[in-house]
Amino acid sequence: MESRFDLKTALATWRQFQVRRQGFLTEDLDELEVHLRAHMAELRHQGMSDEAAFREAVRALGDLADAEPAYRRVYWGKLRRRSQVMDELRSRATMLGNYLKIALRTLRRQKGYSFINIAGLTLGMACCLLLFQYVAFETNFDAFNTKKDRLYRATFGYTRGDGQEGVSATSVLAFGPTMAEHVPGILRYARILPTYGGVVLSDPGASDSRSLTEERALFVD
Amino acid sequence: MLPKPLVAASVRPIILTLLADQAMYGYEIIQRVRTISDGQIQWTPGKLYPLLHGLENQGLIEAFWRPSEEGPDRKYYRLTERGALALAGEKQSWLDLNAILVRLWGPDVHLQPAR
Repeated sequence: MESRFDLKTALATWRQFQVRRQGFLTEDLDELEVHLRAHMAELRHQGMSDEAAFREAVRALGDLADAEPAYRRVYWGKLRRRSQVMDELRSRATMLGNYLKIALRTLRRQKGYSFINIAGLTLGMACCLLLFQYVAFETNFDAFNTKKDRLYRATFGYTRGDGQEGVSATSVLAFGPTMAEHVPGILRYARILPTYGGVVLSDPGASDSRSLTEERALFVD
Repeated sequence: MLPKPLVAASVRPIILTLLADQAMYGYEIIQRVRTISDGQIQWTPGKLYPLLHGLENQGLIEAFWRPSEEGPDRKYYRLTERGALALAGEKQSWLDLNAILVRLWGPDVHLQPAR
C-alpha cells in the first residue's frame, strides 16, 4: 500500500532538518521554502508528479551546508538592520546560562557518573601531556652522530667551599683523564674548550705574513 | 558556460540592473538570468540568497513580502536610491573595461559571430 505524498509534511520535514543550521533566520527558511514551491510549480507544469517535483526541487537547491558560511557572513548584518542584535545576544546568554544550570544540576544529582567522566578526561589529558613532554625531550638530542648511542656528555656536580652545591655543563681540565682512568666503561674522551671570541693566527716570520681571524674556533683534544 | 570568475564578478551589476526595472523574488531572478544569458549563467540559490541579503544589509536593495496565489508570501526585492547610485558605478566600471578590451581587439570584435 503506497503512502500518499503530502507536500505539507514533506516541507515540514525538510524544514526540521534545516532549522538547526547556524545563520538561518525563520525568514530565510521561509524564503527557501517559497523557492522550492516555485520550482515545484514549474516542474509540475512540465508533467512531473508532486513527489518527483519535490525531490528534484530539493536536489536542485543543493546542500545547505555549503551555503551556511555565506549565510553566516550576512547574519549579524541582518540582525543589526532589524535592531535585533541585543535580543540575539540576550537569547544566547540565556542559553549559556541554561547549559551551566544543567551541568551543575547533573553534577549534583549524578555524582558517580560525573566523577567517572571528569576523572577519565583528567587522566587522559595528564597522560597526553606527559607523553608529549617525553617525546619532546627524547627527540631534542643531536642525532647526526653515527655513534650517538655511545656518546655521552659529562656534566659536573660540585660543592663549593661555602657549602653551596650545583650542577654545571662545564668542568675542569683533569676531569676527562681522571674519569677515563677510574671508570671502566669509558672508551675514549674528548675535551672541548670554546674560544669565546675567536682566535687570530699570525706568523710574522713567514714570507707572506698575514693574520687570519676565526670567530668560531674550538680547542679540542 | 562562462568561466567562474566572470560569473562571480558580474553578479552585482546583473542583480542591481534587474531589480531596477522591476521587483522580483529569488526564483524569478534565477530564471530571468538563465533566460537572458541563454543558459550561460546559472546561479544557485545557495549563492544568490546570501548575496541578496548582503545587498539588503548594505542598503542597495530593499525587501518586502507579497502574497502569492499558490501558497505562502513571497519575499520580493527592489532597488533603492543608494542601489541606483551603486548600479551607475558598476555600469561605468564595466563599460570602461569593455572599452579597454575593444581598444585591444579592434572595433570589429563585435561583428564576430556569437557562440
